[in-house]
Amino acid sequence: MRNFVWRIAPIFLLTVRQFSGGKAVRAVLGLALVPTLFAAVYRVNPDVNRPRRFLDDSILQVLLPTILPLAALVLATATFGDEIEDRTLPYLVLKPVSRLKIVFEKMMASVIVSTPIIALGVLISWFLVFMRDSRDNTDMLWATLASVVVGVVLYTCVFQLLSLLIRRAILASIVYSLVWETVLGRFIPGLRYLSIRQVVTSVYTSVLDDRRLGTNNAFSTGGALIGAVVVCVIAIALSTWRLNKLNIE
Amino acid sequence: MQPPDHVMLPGVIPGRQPTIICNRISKWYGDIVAVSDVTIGVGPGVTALLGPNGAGKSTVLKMITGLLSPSSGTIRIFGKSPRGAPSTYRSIGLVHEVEHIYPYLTGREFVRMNAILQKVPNLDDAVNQAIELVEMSDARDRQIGGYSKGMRQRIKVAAALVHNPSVVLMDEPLNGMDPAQRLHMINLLRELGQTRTVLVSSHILEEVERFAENIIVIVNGKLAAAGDFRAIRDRIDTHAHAVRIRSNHPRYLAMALIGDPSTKSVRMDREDRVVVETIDVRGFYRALPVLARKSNIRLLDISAVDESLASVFSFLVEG
Repeated sequence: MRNFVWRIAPIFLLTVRQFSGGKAVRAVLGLALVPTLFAAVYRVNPDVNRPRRFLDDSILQVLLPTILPLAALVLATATFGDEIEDRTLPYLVLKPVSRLKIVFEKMMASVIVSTPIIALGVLISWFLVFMRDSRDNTDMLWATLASVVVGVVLYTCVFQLLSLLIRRAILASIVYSLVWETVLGRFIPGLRYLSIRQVVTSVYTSVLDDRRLGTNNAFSTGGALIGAVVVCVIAIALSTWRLNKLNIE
Repeated sequence: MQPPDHVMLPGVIPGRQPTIICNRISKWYGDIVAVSDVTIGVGPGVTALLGPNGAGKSTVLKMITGLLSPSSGTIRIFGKSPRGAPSTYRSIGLVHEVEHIYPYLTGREFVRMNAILQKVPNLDDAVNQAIELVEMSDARDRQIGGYSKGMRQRIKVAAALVHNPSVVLMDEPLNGMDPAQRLHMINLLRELGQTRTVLVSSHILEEVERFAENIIVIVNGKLAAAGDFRAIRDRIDTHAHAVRIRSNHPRYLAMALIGDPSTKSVRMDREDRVVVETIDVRGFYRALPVLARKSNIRLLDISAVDESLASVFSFLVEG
C-alpha cells in the first residue's frame, strides 16, 4: 500500500512523513484539545438543561473562529515553509513534475494530517458534553465535522499560498484570522462576504438546521460551498503560479 | 539580444556543440551584483566552474538549473530555457550545495523518491544501480539523519544520477568526503564526462586538475578565464602563491627554503608555521620534500593560504 502511494503521490507521502511526530503536529493536537478542555470543565459542573447550547457556544465562539484557523495554519504554512527554510525545495521543483501537482499534493497532505486531529478533539468534546444525555445529538457532531472539513481545506489553501508569497506567513495568517476576520469583520459588514469564517459558520448552521441558534449567516448552504470551491481554486492557481516564479536560494 | 555564436563561446572546446549556453547573464540583489554579464558555453565532458568562495559559482549553477531567474540575459539547455519548463529536468541531474536532506527518509527512500519524480521505468533496478555507483549499498536502509557529511554527499549524487541524465550539474560535490571517497568521486566524474555534459563547481584548484579538462573561472561574479585547463593553469602558475607549512622544525625549514630559487619570500606566522611566497608553484612543490629530507625535517601539514587563492583568481581577471 505504502509503495503504491509513493508511486502515485510521492510529494503527498513525503509531506506526511515530514509532519509525522514533529512539533507542528503536536501543536495542532494541543490546539485541537482546547475545546475538549472546555468540555471537561463543563462535565465537572454540568448545566444539565443546556448541553446543546454549551457545545454550540464552544463551536461558534472558540473552535470555528480561533482554533480551526490556528490549527490549519501550523501545518499549511509548514508544507512549503519548512522546505524553503531547510533549502530542500530543489529536490522537488527540479523534476519533470507540474507545479500544480506539487501544490496539490502538499495541500492534501496538510488537510489529511490536520483534519483527523481536529476531528478527534471535536469527537471527545461531543462525547464529554452529551455522555449523560439520552437524546440524539449526532446532528451536532456531523455539522461540526462538516464545517471542520470545509474550514481546514479553505484555510490550508489560503495559508499555503501565503507561505509561498511571504516569509512571515505564520504572522500574516494570524493577522488574517484575528484582525481581518474578527475585528474588521465586526466594523465593516461587507467583509463578511470575504471571510472564510463566515463560510465555515454557514456550513455549520446549515447542516445543523437549528433555528434556535439565531445566527445571521452570510451565505446559504449552496453559496457557502460555491464560495469555498472558488476560494480553493483561486488559492491553488495562485500558489502554482507563485511556485513557478519563485527564486529558490 | 542576439544569441552568441557557440563556436566563439568561452568554455566550449572548439568543434564541440555546447549543451548549455549562458548568454550575458547577470544577477543582482538590490545594489549587490552577484553575477555580472557572464557569457559561457558548456559542452560534453567535464567542465569545472572554479572560483574562490563567494565568487558567484553557486548563483551561476542555480540560474542554469532555473532555481534563480537571471536579472538579465538568457540561459538555454538543449535550446530550451530551464525555467518554467519542468520537462527539461528529465535530462538534468543536480547535486546542490545544501547539506540538508530529508533526515527522516532512508538513503534508499530518498533515491527512490527522486526516481519516481523522474518517472524512471525500472524503478528498483535504477535505484540499486545508483546507490551501488556511489558505494552506499551498506547504508542505504539507514535514515539520512544519521549519515556523515560525506555519505550525504554521495546519496545526493546517487539521487541526481538515478534517471541517467545527460547533463549533470554538481555544486562542490567533494565537500566533506574523505580521501578514499574523493578518489572514487573523481573517477566517477571522469567516467560520467565520457558520455555526458558535466559541470562541477569547486574552489580548489588542485582538486579540479584531477577531473576537468576544461575550466571556467569566476571571480567577483565576473568571468575571469575559460578554456583548456592546462593553458589556464600555466597562466596561474606565473602568479605568486602563498603556502603555509607546519613542520617539526619550522625555523630550520624557513632557512632551507630561503636558498631555493622558487622562493620569493619566507616568514613565520603566529602559530609558528612557515608561510612561503613562491613564484614557481610546481617547482616549489617538487623542491619542498627534497629540502625537507635533506635537512631531516618532518612536514606535518601543507596548505595554500586562502587569501593567496583569491589573489590568484583575481590575477586572472586583471591579466
